[in-house]
Amino acid sequence: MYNVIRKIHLYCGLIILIFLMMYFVSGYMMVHRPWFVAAPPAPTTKMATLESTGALPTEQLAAEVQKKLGLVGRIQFPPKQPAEVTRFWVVRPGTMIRVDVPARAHLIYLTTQRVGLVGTLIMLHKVRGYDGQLIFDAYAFFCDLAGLSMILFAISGVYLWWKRVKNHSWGVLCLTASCAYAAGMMLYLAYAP
Amino acid sequence: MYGGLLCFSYLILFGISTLNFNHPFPFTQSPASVATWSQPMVLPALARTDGKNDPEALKIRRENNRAILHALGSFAVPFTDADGDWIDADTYHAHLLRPGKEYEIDVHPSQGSATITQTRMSFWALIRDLHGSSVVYPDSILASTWAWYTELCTYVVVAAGISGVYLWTGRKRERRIGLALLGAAGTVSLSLMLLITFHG
Repeated sequence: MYNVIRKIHLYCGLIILIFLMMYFVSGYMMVHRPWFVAAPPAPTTKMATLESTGALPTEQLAAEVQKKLGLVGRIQFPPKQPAEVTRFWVVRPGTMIRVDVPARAHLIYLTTQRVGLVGTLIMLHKVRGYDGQLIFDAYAFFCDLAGLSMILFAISGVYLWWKRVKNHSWGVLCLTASCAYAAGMMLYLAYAP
Repeated sequence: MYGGLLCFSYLILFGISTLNFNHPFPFTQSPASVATWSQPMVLPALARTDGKNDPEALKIRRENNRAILHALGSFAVPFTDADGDWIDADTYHAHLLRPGKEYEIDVHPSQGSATITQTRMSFWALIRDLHGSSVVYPDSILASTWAWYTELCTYVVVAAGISGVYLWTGRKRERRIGLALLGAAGTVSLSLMLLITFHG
């Protein structure tokens, strides 16, 4: 049993290592954003013509425009649409393209904002969910693996420590402190005024 | 090893919240409870933002929000820097939150009262909010310690990754299969990151 758990711990660790490191390094950059993030370069704007798409619902219009202009990334909408314009973003790590489609014109305005290496890492960190786009879905699958592996490492790590170390007192102290702190913090945040 | 044990709960919370970000099931999204009440609230005069430039207005809003939290006996932070402002001559609205709780507060200085809507988040939302949280709350040192824990766990996980690879390379028997796994999975991981960045 010990050998099986040890192998699971090792092999899962090796499989997910690069992803996990990316998450923790980019997470550190997010926490200390001012240390790492420089001012982004100025956005660039260009125009494109749009053949009539008719009166399409916003989601369908965005999908149509994305397809016609070959914009790659995920579509995101603002919480509130501006007047006379349909606005959406096409986002992928490192690049955000704001698309403005005026209601009565055949021109589309594309404003591209790039965010540099650190910004790209941070956006990689924030990619989540499945939406039917193959690469994004494969990425989300690895993200799931990273999440599962963290749970698996933690539990298998405790098992390996218990079996391997004879004197458990320091380990029990660390483990108890960790669990008590997290549980206490959750109760405090939930029930303190 | 002991660092790993010290970060045990964090890794579990991290793993669960990562899965929940990817799979936002409806039962993990709804709040636990919402309550609205009015109460007397005595505050030092809240400053006005009329005619102030953006940095000054931001500073005023921060001070007003902080005064409101202090009067409420709570701790939280604004949802965004833009949160909190006068919505009419006698109502200052603040939107404040912390992991597990969200407040919408309308303060009426002339009446010395406030209307508060408190949304208590579910267990799942609390876990999601704690994921990577590094907020420092001036009114709660205890809640602010989570930021230190986040920092500690980041160092421990990165160190565990590096030391794990170092220890594995010392074991001749598992070197070949490990190298194959690391090489294949590393190539797939990096390719995915590059693909999603350059081709979306």
